Amino acid sequence: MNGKLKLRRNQTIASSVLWGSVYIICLLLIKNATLPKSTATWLAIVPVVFFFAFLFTIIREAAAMDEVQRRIQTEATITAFLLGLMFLMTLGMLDQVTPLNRDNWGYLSVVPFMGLFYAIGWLVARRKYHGE
Amino acid sequence: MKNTIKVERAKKNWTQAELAERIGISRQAVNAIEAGKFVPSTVLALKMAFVFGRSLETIFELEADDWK
Repeated sequence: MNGKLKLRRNQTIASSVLWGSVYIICLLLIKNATLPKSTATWLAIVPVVFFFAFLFTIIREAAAMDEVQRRIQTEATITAFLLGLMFLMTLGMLDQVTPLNRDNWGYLSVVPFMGLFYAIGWLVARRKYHGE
Repeated sequence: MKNTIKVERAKKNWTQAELAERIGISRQAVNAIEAGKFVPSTVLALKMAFVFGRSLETIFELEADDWK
């Protein structure tokens, strides 16, 4: 891995940890603390700012990748997007049949699945091109 | 598309990592291109030809399947 890519990967890791931490803290505060509705609304939006920082660093990292690494990221993203779409469609269809329990199948429950779908796509693409 | 990267590397006595360093990509990328799992861009193919001191056609050659 070249120095530029290593630096940018570290920046991406740092920004993702920061975003994840802010997200979890805000979520815990919204769920557990007794807050005025306006404060809770602001707390729900705060992670977006950190997410954009994460997005910016990950795009910069992708620019420093070589062609094969970029292809792996592209295929992982396509897989995650399409599996996420299928997941949302299926949840929507099931919701039409029987209204789903929002505690188990709310918007928040979709978030970890998106991460899982990306990981699946990344592993499949990496195996395809790196044979590892 | 088949290639002669492995042969050219052997002539120069370069490892995949050394070739990767010279053309500015990862060793895994060299491995993927050499194994025919990934077709490089024109720029990368030209860089390879340049560092080997060969023409592009010497290193990369189209196969019958590429025309289908």
